[in-house]
Amino acid sequence: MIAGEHLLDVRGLAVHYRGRRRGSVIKALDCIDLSLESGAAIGIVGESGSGKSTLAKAILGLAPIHGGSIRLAGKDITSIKQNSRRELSRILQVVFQDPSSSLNPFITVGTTLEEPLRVHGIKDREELNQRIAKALDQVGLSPDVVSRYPGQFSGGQKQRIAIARALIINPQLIICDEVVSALDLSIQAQILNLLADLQKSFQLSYLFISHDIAVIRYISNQVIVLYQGRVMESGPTAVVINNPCHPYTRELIASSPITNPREQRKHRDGQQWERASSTTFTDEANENGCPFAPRCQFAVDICTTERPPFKVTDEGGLTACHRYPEWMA
Amino acid sequence: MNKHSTTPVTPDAHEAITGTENTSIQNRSLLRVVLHKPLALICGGFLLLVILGAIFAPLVAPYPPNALDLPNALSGPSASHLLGGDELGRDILSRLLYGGRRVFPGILEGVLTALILAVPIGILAGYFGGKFDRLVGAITDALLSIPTIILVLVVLAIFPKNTHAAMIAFGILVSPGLIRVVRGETLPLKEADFVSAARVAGVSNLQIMIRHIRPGVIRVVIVQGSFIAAGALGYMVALGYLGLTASAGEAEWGQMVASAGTMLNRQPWLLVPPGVLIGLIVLAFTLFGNALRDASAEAIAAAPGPVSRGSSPKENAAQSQGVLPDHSNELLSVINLSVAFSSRGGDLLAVDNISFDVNPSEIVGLVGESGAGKSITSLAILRLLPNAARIVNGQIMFDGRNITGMDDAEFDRLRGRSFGLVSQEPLSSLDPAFTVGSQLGELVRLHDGFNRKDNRSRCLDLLNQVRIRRPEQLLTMYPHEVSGGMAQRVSIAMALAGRPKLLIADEPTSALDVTVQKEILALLRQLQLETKMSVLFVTHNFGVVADLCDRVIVLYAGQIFEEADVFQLFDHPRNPYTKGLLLANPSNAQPGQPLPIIPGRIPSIGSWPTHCRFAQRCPYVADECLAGPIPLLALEDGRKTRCIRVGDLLKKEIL
Repeated sequence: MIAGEHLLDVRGLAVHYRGRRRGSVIKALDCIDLSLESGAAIGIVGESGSGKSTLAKAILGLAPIHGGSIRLAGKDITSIKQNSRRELSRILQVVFQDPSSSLNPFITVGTTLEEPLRVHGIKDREELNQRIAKALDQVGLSPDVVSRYPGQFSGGQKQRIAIARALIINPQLIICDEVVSALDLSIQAQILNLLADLQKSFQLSYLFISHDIAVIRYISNQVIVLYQGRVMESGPTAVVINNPCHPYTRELIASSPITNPREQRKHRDGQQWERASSTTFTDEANENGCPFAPRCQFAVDICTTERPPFKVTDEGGLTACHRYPEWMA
Repeated sequence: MNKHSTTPVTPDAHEAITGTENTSIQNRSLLRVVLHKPLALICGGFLLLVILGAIFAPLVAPYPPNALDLPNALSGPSASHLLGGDELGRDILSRLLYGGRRVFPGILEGVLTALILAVPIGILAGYFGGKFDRLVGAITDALLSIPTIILVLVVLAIFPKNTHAAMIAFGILVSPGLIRVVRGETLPLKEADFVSAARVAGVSNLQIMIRHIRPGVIRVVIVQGSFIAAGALGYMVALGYLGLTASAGEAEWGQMVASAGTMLNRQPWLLVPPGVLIGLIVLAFTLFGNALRDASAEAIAAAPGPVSRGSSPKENAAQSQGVLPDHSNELLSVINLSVAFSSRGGDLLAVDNISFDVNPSEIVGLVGESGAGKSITSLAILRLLPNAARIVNGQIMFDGRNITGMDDAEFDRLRGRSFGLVSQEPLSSLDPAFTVGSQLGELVRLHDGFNRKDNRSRCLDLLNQVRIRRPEQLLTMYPHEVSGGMAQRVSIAMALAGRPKLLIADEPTSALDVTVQKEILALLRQLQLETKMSVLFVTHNFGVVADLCDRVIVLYAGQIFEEADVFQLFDHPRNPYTKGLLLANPSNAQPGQPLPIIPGRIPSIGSWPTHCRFAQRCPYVADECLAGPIPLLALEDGRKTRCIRVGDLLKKEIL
């Protein structure tokens, strides 16, 4: 790895799927750029269908890449074969949203945790047991869970096991795909703390995907806002969330209720409510324009005819909005 | 869990806490589950007995299979011949036992051939898809179109009287169906996150198929295998009967049936022993297969831990606070409601002695984590409890009438007109086979009995009411054509069709994007203002509660833990659990600082302690919290909390 190079570097990434109609193409991701430094966390936020999970899959080699490049620790991994993934897995690991589906219900926790080690040639029983016990300890589980099946654990415990599996090979980057969305509030806080602790202890980097802006705000240094496969806005988390420079980001933040009735009621009464565009008929996204234009109250002609270029915002972020900065006035 | 509470707790208290924990969950293998099913045990035992009989036929059979005893020909059952003798006086019991020595290896050959072909091919086809999958599909289709008997006749013409050849041919012929089953099982497994995780870890495709796909597939295959075995038996008997695999006079079940057929006029009994035995074995294979299927579903499910059951309804009644005021002003009054699930170990309480009111035009939030009992409470009100659950105690008063005592017909008249329900999954409340218009129209007809024209205009009114822009167009659309937010609007319109006085909304926005959630909440708020209906809003999301509700009831482990006006609850929670939940919310936290967490997890149904159910996780637990059941205390302003330390904690400014 060359000094100063990012741990993860994604340039112009495009993922296309064949559409239902013959010859039609669904652009699940279109021209995505991102870079992640070692020890940092980048948050990917957006609604369903925004392409957040596709981005994770593309980096993990689970989605068909149409264009662009992905570099991890200085190596181009855009189109490497399944066999070479083995080496990569020393650096890159993943934790998924649904802990029930990410653990094989038919095999014991011990066997699940053993697998990544065996892939890397660790076969010595003593060493396997030792590393499994250590990983379980790191996620706050007792070592005697190894003989049990996933069905015997609660959601939070299963998510801890999934994190232990990602951790056991000492990776540098963990992709967290909605890891706390399926958990109860009190368990969600435990898992977020665990991830933050692990990050500090091991200089881990996270690519943290979530629909919940509060979770992203808490865990990530940088944030990318996706909408229909395109980047709407990106920048340091505090900047983007406190001072959104794209109308979509603003709507996303304004829609998340504040957990205080007084503030929430003030907050929502300050907004305009008569529009109900997002739940009425979905308009076809315009190939050339801004995908958010049909829902955007600031949209003008150019927004539907020309693809908005990225503009550097006053606070150092990027926004893909034709009307920046005048819409904010 | 990893971070246990650090507040000082006396040794006694600690002991009491750990005493209530129960982590001894047994591993449940498929076999163990099967052995718990009496029917499976009987079938399995019977099959084992018959197979052992065949294996040890030379030892257990009273006579050699072909020993002639002409005086006893066609004798019927007797002491010397338990099942009688055949037309040459040969002992039928012995011939059946020896016949098994030909039948069971044949069945095994057939089933194994099918499994050995189908499992790898099915997994490969499902896993790789593409050209290989299409090729396999074409071959299986072609095989399925060949008439079985013709192929078998060809095989037996080449290998005369060869049972092995016939059964291998049988295995090949049944494998296409099994290949399809295996492929169908592989497809969802291939997409499962645990396979993705293995691929990311660099596990080779072969290893993924062997380690991750095969165990899931095998469970289904075992079940199918027992059905195939039943088929193989019938097939073998038929070939023997036709004399294709056995010569006349051989101790072979098919031949025994055939010769019994020729003696039907002289001694009908001859047909009974082989006929009944074959029938019983087929039945045993089939029932055993069914039991395996049920067991495999149970084996991977969470093992329930019925340890200490919740206190009985009677005890609860004794615990309930004072005299309940009269409930004539409230729209809905839930009084001492307890709901239990019946399970193997007895009744398990899911809702334990809950009482609350909903006033006219009020929006009440019912909040809690999963397992708190919030959904069960709302389903109990609507009489929509799952089959295993029932109300074991308490009353539900609606509009001054006791609805728990009503018969079903009377309650049905109330449903819809008095209550509406909006559920979490909007699409699941709509039937995909009918247009939105026909489903909404049906409800309107039910409630209003309008003619067609009025019906349509009422539908359009309802859709306008839920702010749908082009309602005429929506009426002709099918549920899959509308977005999640719009589907939720439609299901709200359907709930409004009967002009309910109370709308029960069970996590109506949890499956929606935040921007859509915002709109649905705004819609509910406006509808409540327009119609003056009451809303019981069930959710786990405190942000939604803050946005919408007037009053909040916090549930924990089946009990009410706190009840307060929404502003008071958020500003000054009076229960450590509520306070903990509010603090644990990442939106109130400072990035970089650890979130103040609640350690541990909610005790599962069936393992609720008799003392405070939150004690195990509470940073302020003291001896008194562990002494016995905690009452729900009434505080100022009609607030309630289930915490006996509330006075102390207030004094110390902890709450």
